[in-house]
Amino acid sequence: MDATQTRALQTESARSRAELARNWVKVQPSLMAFVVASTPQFSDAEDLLQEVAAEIAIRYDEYDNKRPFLPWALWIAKIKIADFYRGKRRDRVLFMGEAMDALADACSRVQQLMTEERDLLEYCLDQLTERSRRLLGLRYADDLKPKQIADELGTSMGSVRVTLSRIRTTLMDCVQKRAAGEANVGN
Amino acid sequence: MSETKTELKESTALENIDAYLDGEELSEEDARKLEQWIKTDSENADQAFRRVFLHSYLRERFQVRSIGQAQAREREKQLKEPLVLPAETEIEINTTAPNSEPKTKVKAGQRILTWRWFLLIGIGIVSTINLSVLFIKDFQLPYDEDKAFEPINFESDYVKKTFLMARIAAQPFLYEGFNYSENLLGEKASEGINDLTGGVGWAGPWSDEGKNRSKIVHDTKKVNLGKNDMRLFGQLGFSDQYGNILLTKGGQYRSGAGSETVAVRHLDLQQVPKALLDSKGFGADGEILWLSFMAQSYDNAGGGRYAYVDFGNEESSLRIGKLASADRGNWAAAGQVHGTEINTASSEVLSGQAVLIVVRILFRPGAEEVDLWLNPPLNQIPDLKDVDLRLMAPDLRIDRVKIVSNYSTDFDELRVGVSFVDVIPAEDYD
Repeated sequence: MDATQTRALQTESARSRAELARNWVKVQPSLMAFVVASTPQFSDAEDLLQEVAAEIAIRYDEYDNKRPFLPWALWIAKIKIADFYRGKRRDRVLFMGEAMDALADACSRVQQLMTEERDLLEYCLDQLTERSRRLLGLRYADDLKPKQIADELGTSMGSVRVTLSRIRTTLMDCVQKRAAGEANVGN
Repeated sequence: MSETKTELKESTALENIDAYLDGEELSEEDARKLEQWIKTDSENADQAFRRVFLHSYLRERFQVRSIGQAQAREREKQLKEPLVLPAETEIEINTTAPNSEPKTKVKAGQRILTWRWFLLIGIGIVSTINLSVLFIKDFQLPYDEDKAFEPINFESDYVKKTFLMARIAAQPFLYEGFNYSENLLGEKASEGINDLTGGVGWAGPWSDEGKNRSKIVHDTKKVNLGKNDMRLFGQLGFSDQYGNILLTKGGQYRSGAGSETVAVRHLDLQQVPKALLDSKGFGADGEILWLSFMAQSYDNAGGGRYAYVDFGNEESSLRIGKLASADRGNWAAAGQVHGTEINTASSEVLSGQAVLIVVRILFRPGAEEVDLWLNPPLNQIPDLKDVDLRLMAPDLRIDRVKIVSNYSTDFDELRVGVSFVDVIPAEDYD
């Protein structure tokens, strides 16, 4: 191989790495959500996402860049999720087991929407009362389970669970209303 | 079969998803119903995915906001009334509310997390340790303001002095200033930077492993690659907007041009603070690491050219510099997994410009949180709100520093420590 060929290969390799980086940034939030659905323990999900990233990096040459990147990445994620549970000696992922393909399809369908809705979520989070935000903080920043939150606040697990669910539903409703409102602007 | 399809209402399905993602184990029956609900209707699947996405988003957002703010949260806990669950009516949101008010509220809520807070905690801890050291050593380490650089733009004389004192006593546990004399380099038998052993915290000498050789440069006005070389104006240096000046002494590292230069040096893990170590090595979860270095490339060219410092091991690492995956060629950072850059974050600062890069790594279970500031003021701990680059890096275990380049670039004053004052470059470190 002469110097020109070597240089061409190096350039191609660099271009491929840059393309992978761009693709990865776009799909990472959706991919993370998909992984979270299969491994609700966030620290496990973050580890698993890393495994997915590594596998994607290793196999990137196999990716046909004429096709959308997300479905291919989801396919890799599904393989890694299955490996993960084999490693943990657990044979079944509750609810995700048979719904995994349906969720992967949903992920591909709503990915673009999710990206846009992140900004709206920021707005809606700001609208929550401080108490609601603090409760979310206990769950997501301190990583406490409803039972632990209930113990800390001296209330029942059921109350915490229901309140958290209501806050989440409120956030989703807020996002949808804001999205609809913004869509109507100019009509 | 049709029973399960109709049994579940959307609200119940979403509550079950919440319960599952909150760590509760669903019964076989509930799990089966949920699966059916998701599989039988694509709209249900979309709603389910949106709910999962919400959990994932909230986790990411609250984690990022909480990073480094454990003390603030602790204080917040003490200051605030005990949390009482919000009533149902309190949870509702009026989506027609104006935008401006909540933004103001959030800012007000975040004031507790400003740099002054971090600075005071940092200074408190560091100065307490330093004062203890001073007393133990019977004042063998005198407070000498001349050793720190002036001016520091602090209104309070007390804060200024404690900051300066913290800075004087601060020490990185890993340091390489590339201060090798021309005589030493002339007498050395090996090529490149092979066998150079200066600095602090290293297990052995540098190893120059690339096709090309790197070198130590002392006078960039004399040693340069022609009139287009951005480095010919002088040695790497930095001054902030308050006039705090950093001057580097001795030489600086320069990678070769043309083919690849690879310089590797391993850390002495015995000199790494124990808190940063666990059974897997250097990078214990829950700890914070600071590092800094200066850099300047021949020019701003991108397009696959690279010159970076790589912290980690061969499997995974953090790369900072001019990166092949940052096409414009500006200073950037990325995670590396098995040789591929991921999560590249690129700055607006051209790589032909000399830059002081300050990095804070929060080691977490799984991916690490990395915050970078380019040319930050030296008189205060940088604020997380003012980061120039933020990215998630793969789980890091640092056992070596590697400088890799296919484009002539200079690096200098590499420092790694446990606090900001450890790594802001001060004169007379040696």
